[in-house]
Amino acid sequence: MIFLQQVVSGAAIGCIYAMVALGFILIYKATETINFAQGDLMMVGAYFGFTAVDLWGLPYWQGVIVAVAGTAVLGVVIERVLMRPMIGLPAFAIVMVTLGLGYLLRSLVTMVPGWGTDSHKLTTPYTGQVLRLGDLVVSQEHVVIIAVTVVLIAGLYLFFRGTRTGIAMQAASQNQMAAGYMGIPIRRLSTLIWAMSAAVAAIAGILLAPLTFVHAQVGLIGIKAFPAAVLGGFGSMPGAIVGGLILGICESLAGFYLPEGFKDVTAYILLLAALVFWPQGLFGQSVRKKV
Amino acid sequence: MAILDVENLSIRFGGLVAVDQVSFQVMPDQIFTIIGPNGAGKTTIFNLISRLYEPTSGRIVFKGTDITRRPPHQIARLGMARTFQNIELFEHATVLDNVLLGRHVHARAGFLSQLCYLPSLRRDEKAFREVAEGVIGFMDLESYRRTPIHGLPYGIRKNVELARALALEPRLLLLDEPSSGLTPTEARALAYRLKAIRDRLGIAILMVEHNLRLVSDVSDHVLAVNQGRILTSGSSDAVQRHPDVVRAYIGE
Repeated sequence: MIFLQQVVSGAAIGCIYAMVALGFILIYKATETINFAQGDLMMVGAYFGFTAVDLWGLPYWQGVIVAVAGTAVLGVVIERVLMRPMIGLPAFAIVMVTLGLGYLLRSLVTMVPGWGTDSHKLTTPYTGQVLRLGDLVVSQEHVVIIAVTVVLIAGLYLFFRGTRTGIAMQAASQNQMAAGYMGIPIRRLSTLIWAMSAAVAAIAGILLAPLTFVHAQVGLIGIKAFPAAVLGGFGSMPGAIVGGLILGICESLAGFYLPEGFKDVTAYILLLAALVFWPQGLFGQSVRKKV
Repeated sequence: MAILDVENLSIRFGGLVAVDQVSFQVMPDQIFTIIGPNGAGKTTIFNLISRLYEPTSGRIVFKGTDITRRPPHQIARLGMARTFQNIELFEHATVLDNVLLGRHVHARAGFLSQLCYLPSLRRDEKAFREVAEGVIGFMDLESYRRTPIHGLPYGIRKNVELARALALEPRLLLLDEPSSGLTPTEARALAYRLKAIRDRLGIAILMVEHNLRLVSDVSDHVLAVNQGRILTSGSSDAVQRHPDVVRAYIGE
């Protein structure tokens, strides 16, 4: 029973990793760059949630919507102001911009009045409650994380499979130039992808906030979500989700059964193992270059 | 009235003038071919017209609309489709899905009806499927309908790319070296299809082509370029006999 307990709480954290990893993959597939500020967007989303709910006093769910929309707008601004001038430059240069952006966001939030360098608590209507399933006791925070993740993934699945915009995004991720000549507005889609990716990050941040508090360094979780994305085969959305879950569960079990310290390195042990044994990832497409 | 009107088009890459004051007109019922030795600027002219490159000067007018500064997705909506020298397909999608993506410009159903799969979307989808099947039949791709692109032989991929361009139902088709890499049999089938595209579908074709036998067989009008400039233009025979053209291909 303790084992199951650890699996469930690991799966909840795994959902957070999965959402951040999804953000990596969305942007990677649309623009072939890796946004290392993904975790920091999550952090900003959590701050927005804290602002809307605790500072402005909006009802929780309204506050969440405002915060997610606000982070999506921030994603659009980042794409328009920072990313668009980088089109055509080497991927390395673009990655450096996102790394810089991460530092910038972590510093900027501490300068905002009302945020500062303190940790904050995001009040939720479900904090402190538990759900009992037989002997299994699951905290309501974990239940909400898992439920929202499931809904979010289902929504993204429908969007990418069932809507013209989603299919256009898939086409653009396979061949941007050809997609342009099919009448697909590539740049507008890339803006939309940044908005979606920022919104997913914000949802992750707001869901995680009751467990970790809101502070400037919370976005460093992005560095752990990166191995999750690699584990799933970078470029695969189902892979990111499975990778995130595996990582969360392994970490939780390692924290309980292994000596102290193992919990924090689990992600990187998994990353190394994945790169050595399944370099194409669990869901990756192995591309063999024809010569 | 010309479907495509190119006026004094030029592009400069650094100090190199790759295309220099090129002007020509393509008529709506024409197969118009650009020939010239390697490095003459043929593909550059193509990439200018299909809005991949920004011209340094000049004007491109398509169906009466000035498209000199329009992005590629807008010219696709105006009715211009193109293929590429090195085939640009959606590699992980099937032949049918590639062709269906060609219908994207004609999609009308709104976002809500897409999410809920409303009747308006079903009508769209059914009509799209009919056009796609027609094009697949025309290009002899029936047996590859459900095959993903990666893994198909070169000649088939080339046909898929042409099929996808036709699915847009364009008024003007830009083909960049449609016969390159094809076997002689495939090249003959191509010649037949190009004429059918012009005569039966009423689509004008602007192409860059190296195979001079194919050029003579199908072209209504030929334009010869060298070093970014027009050498001559006219009927295929006249152009191929023109002393400047002979000199450009064979040397002094």
